[in-house]
Amino acid sequence: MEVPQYADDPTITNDAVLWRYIRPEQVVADNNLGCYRPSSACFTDSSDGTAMSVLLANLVAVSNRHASDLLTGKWHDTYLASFTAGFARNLDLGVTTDPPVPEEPAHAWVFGKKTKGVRSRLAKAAQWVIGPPALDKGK
Amino acid sequence: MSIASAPTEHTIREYLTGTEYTRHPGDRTLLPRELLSNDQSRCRVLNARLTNDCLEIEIEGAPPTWFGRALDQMTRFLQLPENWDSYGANAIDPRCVVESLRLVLDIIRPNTPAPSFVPTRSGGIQFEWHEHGIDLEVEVEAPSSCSVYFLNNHTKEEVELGLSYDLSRLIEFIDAISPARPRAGSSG
Repeated sequence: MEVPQYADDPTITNDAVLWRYIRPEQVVADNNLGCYRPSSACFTDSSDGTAMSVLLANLVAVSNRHASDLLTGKWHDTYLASFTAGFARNLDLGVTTDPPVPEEPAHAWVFGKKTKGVRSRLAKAAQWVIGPPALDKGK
Repeated sequence: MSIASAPTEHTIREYLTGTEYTRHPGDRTLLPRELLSNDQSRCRVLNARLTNDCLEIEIEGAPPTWFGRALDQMTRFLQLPENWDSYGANAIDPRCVVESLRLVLDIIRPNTPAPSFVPTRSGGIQFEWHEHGIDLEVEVEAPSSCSVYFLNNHTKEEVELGLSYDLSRLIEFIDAISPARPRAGSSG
């Protein structure tokens, strides 16, 4: 797959909430923060070279869906964690919906270099939208 | 010091062999409870073989208390199919599993807390600690490619490095997350 050229979309405001699917195998205990949270390993670009996929929470709402509606099909056994577009931009990442993904109208890309430090910061900032049962209270 | 509960009998597709492990019928193995000592200073991976769909790991010495649980996790990771994260992840490379177990046993101290193990998109294994104000992550991306991330949240010291044969920096980081043991006879 040809990797698109991404450009940050200023119409996605800094307070826009981005959701990322999290696999249960990639949840770790953080005794510094006193919680279970996604590992930094969750915040990588895709294997095909495209940027990291997220969902724009406001576009999910526009399509009359709730977070729980997303955890079906191939995502049925995953969780959802969130961070803001502004937080990503502060890490020198960009956010855009272009190119669109036809099967998911709320899809967006978070592009830019994801060093281990960047990934770690995303992981520690992420808030559970739908987290592991009985583990999502700490954060 | 937190002590993980002793692992119980666990199912493992890639069953283990070696003097520390006894194979039971039905591809089930039992990590003998008497071997679950807190003194893992002599524990190390002696040998690992991959034949067909069978991974054999031979270890020497008493494994740390969390080792059985780690093996259970590794077993589940090895069963993850291609694209297990729906973002195009590779299936987990058994050689990365072996290398991560070998590495973690090589570097830990008797008082090192239990790490968390996670599969990575590239088919590797990452193990990590978030303890005592420190974030330490070790990623085995491929059997011969490892990298380390260290952040001391108190001093803001941050290090990213590729891991070579020289483990001295990594061992420094391990020391930072391993609380000093009280001296014998000390009070308080």
